[in-house]
Amino acid sequence: MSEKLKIKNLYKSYVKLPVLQDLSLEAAAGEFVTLIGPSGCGKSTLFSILAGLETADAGQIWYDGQPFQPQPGKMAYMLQRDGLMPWRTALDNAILGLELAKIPHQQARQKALSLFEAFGLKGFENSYPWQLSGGMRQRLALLRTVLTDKEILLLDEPFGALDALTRTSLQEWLLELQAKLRRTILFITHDVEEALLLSDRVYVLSHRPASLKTVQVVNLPFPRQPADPEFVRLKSHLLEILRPEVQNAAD
Amino acid sequence: MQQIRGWLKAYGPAFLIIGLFLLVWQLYADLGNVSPNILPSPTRIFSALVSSWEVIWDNTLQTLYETFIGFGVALALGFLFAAMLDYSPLIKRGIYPLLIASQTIPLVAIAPLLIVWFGFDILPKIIIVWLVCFFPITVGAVDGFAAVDPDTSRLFRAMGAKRGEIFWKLKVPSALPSLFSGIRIAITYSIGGAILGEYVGAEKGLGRLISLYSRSFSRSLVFAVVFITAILSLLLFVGVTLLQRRVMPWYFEMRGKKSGVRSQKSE
Repeated sequence: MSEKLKIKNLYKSYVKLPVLQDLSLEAAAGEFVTLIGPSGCGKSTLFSILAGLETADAGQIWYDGQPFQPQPGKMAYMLQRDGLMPWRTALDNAILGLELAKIPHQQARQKALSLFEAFGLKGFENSYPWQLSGGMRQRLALLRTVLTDKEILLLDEPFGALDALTRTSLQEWLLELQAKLRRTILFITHDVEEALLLSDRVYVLSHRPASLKTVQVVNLPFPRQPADPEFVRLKSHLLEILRPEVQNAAD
Repeated sequence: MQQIRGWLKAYGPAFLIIGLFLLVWQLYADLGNVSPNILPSPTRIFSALVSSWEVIWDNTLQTLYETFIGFGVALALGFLFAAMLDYSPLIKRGIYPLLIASQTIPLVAIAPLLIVWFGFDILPKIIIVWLVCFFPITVGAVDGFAAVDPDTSRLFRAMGAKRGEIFWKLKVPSALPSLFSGIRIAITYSIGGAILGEYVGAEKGLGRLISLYSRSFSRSLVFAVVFITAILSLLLFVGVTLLQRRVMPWYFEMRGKKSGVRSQKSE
């Protein structure tokens, strides 16, 4: 697999508060990479930088082997809160990215409609967001993200606000989807089990300022079983590494 | 049938209260031996209204005309002004306090001055209506722009949206509920503003009629004009609400659904 994204020695601070410190990571094309760390450790700042909303103080980024200056519109970005607009139908919410990219309305709608079934939203094209369940809203937000046709998806705790059952079914669904789409995904979570269920590689980050604690490649076959001995071993290993960081965050 | 029942449920109580109020008033005026020069009875007011209908209607049109122009100017300028305040935090910090302070100026003090400056024509009335409407509309729009969902705004920017696109596609639709609240307040006060302007000095209009009738001790006619004023304000309010339902049906459906869920839970 070729290297899609590489980040080296990234630094960022707000006034005097360092947020990212010497952070390096990489993702291969089609790889599912998860960033895990205590809440408020600066993971979201990294996504802001990659999405072009903020600039890093120092460090290099490569995209497809080329030096890369992040700017808006280059990567698809999805936040924990769905940000769906209540005055737009599901269909019109989905095409937001295409609309901003100046793609003709008719064409954008056609493209979105072809994906409604795969996203479990068929029949809800003309529903408003408040008529959808939490899981459906999140799938719609992901559809809006995927439709922008970017090679790299930045997913910031997309399932963080969902109940456990909905979350599990969305995780399974996301794996199926990724098997078809094969996009490069950077995924933020603070749930170790979620990280192990989904990712090819897990980066464990320290408490703020976020720096790299460890990288764990996950070689287990899909679909993964949380009861599998190797899964259990990896989980307790990662939790062991995270524990002092979470304690630091609490202090 | 279902619809009639719904209407009765929604508006019945208001009509009942008004009816009772008028009844008590009528009885008090008739049986209490109150002079019509102190407090005319509702039936007396009504017959005064009917007998002077042509004059009153003619002057009503004048007042409505001034109201609509003043309100329209306030809406356009208020929206523009709010957009400006939203665009630059510096302007907002500088001007917003001034805007609020301007509201403490009593209009009764300003109105005669405006007549001195701009004459008896309709311009001073339009200015007063504008003064009355501008503030609630601007505040409604400013608050609406400020209440935009920060995450959706981030999303727009991450997708490469330009400032203008964020404004028209995100900020304006999210500001609509708050803007309409401001408009509803403004439209209710607007008629009163026009009447104040006319009362101070005019050739025509309901305010001019009130001033005339007061000086000639035609109490019933004063009340008749007041009655027309109240009806007009009510109609304008209803008109704005209907317009709002047309412009943003999603908002009412959403609220209807949410309150429905809540009442189910509380049962």
